[in-house]
Amino acid sequence: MKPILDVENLTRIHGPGCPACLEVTGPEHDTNICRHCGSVVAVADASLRLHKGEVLGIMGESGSGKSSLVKMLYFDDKPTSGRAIFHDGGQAHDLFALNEAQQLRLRDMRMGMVYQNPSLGLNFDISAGGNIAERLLMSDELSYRAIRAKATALLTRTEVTPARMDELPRNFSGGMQQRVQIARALSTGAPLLLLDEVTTGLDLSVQARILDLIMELQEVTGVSMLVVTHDLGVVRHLTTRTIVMKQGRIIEAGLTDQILEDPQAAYTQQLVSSAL
Amino acid sequence: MTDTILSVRDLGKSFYIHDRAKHVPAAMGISFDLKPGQLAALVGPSGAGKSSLLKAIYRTYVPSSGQVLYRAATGGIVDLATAPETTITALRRAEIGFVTQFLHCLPRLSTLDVVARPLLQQGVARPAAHEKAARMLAALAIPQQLWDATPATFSGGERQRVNIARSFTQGGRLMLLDEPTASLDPVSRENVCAMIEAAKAGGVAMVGIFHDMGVVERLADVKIELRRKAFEDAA
Repeated sequence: MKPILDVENLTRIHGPGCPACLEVTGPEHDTNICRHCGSVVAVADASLRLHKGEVLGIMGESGSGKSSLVKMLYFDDKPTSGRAIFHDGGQAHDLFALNEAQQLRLRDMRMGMVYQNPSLGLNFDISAGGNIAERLLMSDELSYRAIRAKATALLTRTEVTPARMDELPRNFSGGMQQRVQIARALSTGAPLLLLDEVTTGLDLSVQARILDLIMELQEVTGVSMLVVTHDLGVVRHLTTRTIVMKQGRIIEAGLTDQILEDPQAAYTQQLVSSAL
Repeated sequence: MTDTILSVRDLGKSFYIHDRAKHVPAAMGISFDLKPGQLAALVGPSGAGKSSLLKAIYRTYVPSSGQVLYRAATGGIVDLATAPETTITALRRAEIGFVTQFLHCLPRLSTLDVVARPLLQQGVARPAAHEKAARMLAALAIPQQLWDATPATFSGGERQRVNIARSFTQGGRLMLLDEPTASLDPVSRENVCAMIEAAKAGGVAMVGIFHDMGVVERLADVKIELRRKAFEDAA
């Protein structure tokens, strides 16, 4: 299997930072706050590899650093140190060494992100169709007719009725907003999709249908996905491998069924046994 | 040795429960060899570690000691106990199947889709996958009017047969069977046994757990006896 994304020693410290930050924080200290300088270590030394066509889960409780990690990969935040290499179309992009214009271009065309909060991923002041058109325009699609046809096809695929494509997404239900977000993320045919708690806060039946949709789209398109979630059910249904994070660290990684049935780390054992 | 497909060497599994700072042994020092078309039956009282051993071969459990040497279709030998996860996922997709004791599937898929799903994931076209799935469902006597319904509404025995149909639709070179004939009526059990025999004749190697000793006598080429006693001695 070929890698699509290599993350190496990614670290994000909020605050001034000091040489002791990484040593005095982490699961063994049960804190991510440095007692010397007061900085918060959101992510420390995280390394992972995502393969082409693979769905990798990132699991952990709130505050474990899992969202911080994917936000950096989508350029929503800058790392304190570390690298990420995005292998795309025969090129290896050293993500944090690129200039801002290059980063934006990758973000607009070669990556997709679906946030837990749809207001982060969507522009609530323009229509659902407009949200998709916006992304298509950035990817050089210029004919109005072609854009409209593509937006209709994408919304149909994510089960948003095209009859509502001219409405503002702010008037949609949470589940529908997520569907528009997914359609927008998929619109440019990006090979890498980042999903951050996409079903959290939705009704159970809506959650199930969103997961089905994601799974089906993954099978059809072969897109690689990083799936951030605290939900064991999401991990079980979507992913083949899973990483577990705590206090900014990756504490365990393995096959998803192994993580769920034979977790090795004390924290993962606790996490798995707390499933309802 | 060259025609051995699976060589389990001194395989052991124990669990460490952090909460109680306790080691729980499940199986120890298991060794056996298997050729294509052979079936090894794991036998022993409940709690002897049969399922744990099966899951350790599949890597759902991380083996604690020993080797699980598997000869892949490419001819290379892979130690399933230590191989990289991506190697395991690739083998699971194409070569190694696991029939669980219970059917785990999404309650929203039709029976035909549940059974065809592994093939679809392998990239087989929908019509071909559905045709093979239908053949397997028919062979296990699942009434055709149920194929559109979700197995979540089925009886235990029907669900078990859907599970088996799915695993055998996917096929593979090595199949791990965790009590495939439990909770089946005699006719269904006969159908499943016939399906296992057909797979064996086709060269599929299998490791299985069966509660019914008659089934073991009929299908097994190798019998691996697991004893609870071993751990009691160790403790």
